[in-house]
Amino acid sequence: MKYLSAILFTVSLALGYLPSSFRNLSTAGVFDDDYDLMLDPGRIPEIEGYRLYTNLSNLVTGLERPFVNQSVNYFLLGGSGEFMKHRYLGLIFDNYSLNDPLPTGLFTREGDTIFGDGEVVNTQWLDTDGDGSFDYIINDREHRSAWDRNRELNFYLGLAFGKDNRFGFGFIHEDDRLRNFDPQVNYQIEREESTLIETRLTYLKGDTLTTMDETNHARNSIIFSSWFGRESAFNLSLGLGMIQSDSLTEADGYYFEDRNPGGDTLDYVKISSGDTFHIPYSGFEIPARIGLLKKRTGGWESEYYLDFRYLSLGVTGDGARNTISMVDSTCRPGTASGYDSITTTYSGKRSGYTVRFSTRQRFTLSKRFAFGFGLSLTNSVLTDELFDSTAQSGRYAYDDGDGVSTANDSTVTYTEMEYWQKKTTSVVRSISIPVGMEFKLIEPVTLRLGARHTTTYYDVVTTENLKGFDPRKTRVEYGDGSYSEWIDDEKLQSGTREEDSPTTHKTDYYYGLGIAIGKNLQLDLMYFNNLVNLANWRLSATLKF
Amino acid sequence: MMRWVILLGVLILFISCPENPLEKFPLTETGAANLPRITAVDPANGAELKDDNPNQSGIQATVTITFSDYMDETTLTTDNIEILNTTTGSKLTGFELNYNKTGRKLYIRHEDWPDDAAYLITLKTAIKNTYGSPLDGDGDNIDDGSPYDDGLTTFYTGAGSGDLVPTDQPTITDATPPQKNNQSHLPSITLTFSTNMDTATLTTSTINLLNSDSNSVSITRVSVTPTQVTFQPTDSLDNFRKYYVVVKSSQIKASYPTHTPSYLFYLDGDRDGPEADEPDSVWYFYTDDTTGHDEPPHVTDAQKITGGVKITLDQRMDGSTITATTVRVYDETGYIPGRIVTYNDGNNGYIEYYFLRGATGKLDVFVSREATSEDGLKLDSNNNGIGGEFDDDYWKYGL
Repeated sequence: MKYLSAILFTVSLALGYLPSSFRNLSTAGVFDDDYDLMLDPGRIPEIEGYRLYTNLSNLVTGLERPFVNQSVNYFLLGGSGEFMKHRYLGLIFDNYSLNDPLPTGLFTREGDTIFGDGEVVNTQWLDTDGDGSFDYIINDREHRSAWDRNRELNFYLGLAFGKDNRFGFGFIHEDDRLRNFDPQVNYQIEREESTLIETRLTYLKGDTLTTMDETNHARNSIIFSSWFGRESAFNLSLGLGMIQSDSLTEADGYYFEDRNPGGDTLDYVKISSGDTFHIPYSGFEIPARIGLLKKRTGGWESEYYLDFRYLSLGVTGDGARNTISMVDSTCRPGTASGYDSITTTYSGKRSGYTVRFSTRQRFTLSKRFAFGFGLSLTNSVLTDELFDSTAQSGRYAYDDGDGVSTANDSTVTYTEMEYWQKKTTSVVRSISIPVGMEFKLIEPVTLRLGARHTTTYYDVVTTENLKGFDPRKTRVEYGDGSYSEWIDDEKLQSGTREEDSPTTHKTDYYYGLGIAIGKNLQLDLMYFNNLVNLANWRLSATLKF
Repeated sequence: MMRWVILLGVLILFISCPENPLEKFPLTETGAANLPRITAVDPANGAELKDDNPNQSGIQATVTITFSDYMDETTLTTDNIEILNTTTGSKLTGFELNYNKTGRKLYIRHEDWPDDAAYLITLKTAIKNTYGSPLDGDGDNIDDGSPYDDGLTTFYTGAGSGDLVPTDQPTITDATPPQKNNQSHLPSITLTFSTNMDTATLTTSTINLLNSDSNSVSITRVSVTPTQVTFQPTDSLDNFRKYYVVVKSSQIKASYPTHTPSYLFYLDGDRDGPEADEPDSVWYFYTDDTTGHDEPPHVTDAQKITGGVKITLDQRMDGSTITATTVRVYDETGYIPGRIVTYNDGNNGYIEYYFLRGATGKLDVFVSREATSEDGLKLDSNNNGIGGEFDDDYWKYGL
């Protein structure tokens, strides 16, 4: 799980659209195309002509499968080109909105699943005294909600100028909001019982729970990139990204039973509950790059990059979880009421850096064949530290209803607290060696092949420490003025530590096709391993002018 | 110089520890705060203090006091512990205090206790446990403050037992007429006390008789001894009426020795030890009904019948008081709404309760103390002959 966390952390920094082109993906990252150049604002001037990206470009996830109409329904528009002399523009915009009804767990009379908001009403007619006529009726109503609601809005805008020396400025906006309504925690259940003899309600029960899970991510980044020279070029890039991440859960529940609705006699139980969980992170990242590109004789092209990225995210002041449950009930005899409350406050920080040295060496050996390889050395250090302070308290009062305050009436209060520190330090080092080639099968079809071997060394240390606690202290105050207090014995697991240092070896293989249809259309294909089944084929189409 | 270098090195090592070991398990708040009590004294209260070193002249001895809780040692000082020689009335000095933390024992030792004397040790409420809760001298779990919660114990040396002082307030050990009905129209109102009283305080100004309208009824003191006083109404009381006896505890004093703490003189009206505002002691009785209609109703039986429950009472009942509020039946689910049929037969009243829904499991039957007989008397479930009292609700569980 911790490796996954480290990976998620890395992925979370990725763009809201495909980070590289189909050509780049098919050759294990060795060969770029215009799309890759556009995402580096300093290299937009290197794109010859104009490009138009549409939904056919499949640049949001790269996973859309147009031949079976399997899509995540993004709207995408983008392109690049020179809009004034030596002034260039690159743009990608995608938008996505989903309101997906899910199975509620309820069924129609025919046994079909009800999706979205569903309601089922059941009625029972009973002849309790067996006299041949109904004398009792029970109505049950159940309503459940099940939805996924997702909205994404991303765009990239790059502006560049220059020719031999090129300067680019880019702005990236990403916004992703996901809401989930789980039918297990979004329901309304009611029961109503009536006697037909006296035509009156005899029992009412209601159980309502509304829970909303929401996850929000937003990032606004600027990046400045400059390239000096053409055949032999030097690159300097610097960026700043502001990041916000938010997890929010809000639950409200109410349960009641009234065993004599409308009657003078009160016999009931009412339970209210609420649960709010909120951990907002905000912070920044600073990416920087120094690069060198050298075009040598004989079709040999070399690239060298040194990347550095620093990240710092902190829990903002309102990171908290509040849980409360209140009960009010009649007893036999008397009444009881009270509450339990749990409040957790969070503070902490995620921070770390990544340093990567990488190189790519490409060789155009003939008009029909190009070959390349690379090397990437990465060192990443991330520290994720979270403090949570959980305070629990409660109060219950019992009154035996005899109208006098005696030792039989009591009020119980309790408090307890724990303060924990959880810290994960991840050091990830990897060596990656990609190789790729392009082979022009026939004009204009190019076969692409790629492979990448990656060895990754993990060093993950997770510690949990109890920093302090107050044991549960209970106080009972009796109606006669006396009281009693006690503290519970404590047996706590006060700390854990886990160290894991696994090493993984992985080799990935890639393949693809590039088809230039005339001067104005470029088709790129991946996942066509089954030539007669187009279902898995991924297609990207780019218009050129 | 070398020493400073070593000290500095140790300090640097300590500071540079990744986790300060002193930070482990800090308890950030105090624990329970029950009031501490005195659980044992040696010698026992009122017993003789024996010389533990016969070879030396004078009386050398130790008084041991055991507490119920761990005490704050800083409060166990001669400022908070007083020893009074009740034979002479003078305070004793020169005693030594030692506290055993583990045993929760306080040792009070004097190397020369005056012989043939009685003593009163007072442990003041400034003595606290480790959580800051003050001493609960009377052990009622209520913080009554000083001096009411001071801890007291007495002992004597030699022939000093005659000068011992009490450590408790006087109480009423018996009282008539009892809190019942059918009492005489000219009852003897008698109070018996736990100790000799100051008879000058046992008068009609401190002991009153009130009728049910809270009007004072004239009474006369017919006899008085140090431990008992009797009054009688001047005139015959009304037929079948409620009367209250009010004893003004804070004005009635015991006849205690001179050196007894002054607050102990007053009657303990609620029998929970001394307190700043001692409440009156009050009880009531009903006079006899000469017409014979003074017996309140009682539930004599409750049993299941088909589709409900039948309740039998030993008096004819006023049907208007038998409602869904005063008669209820519960099952596992809770209240069972019912249709109530009330009727009287002979001298008995009957309630039939027919369920308006199916019942599951055992039944609990309730009849309120507000259920009233045709004679206007409320239900009596504690069988003291007086109905409608706070504990007169009728419950039958698990029918």
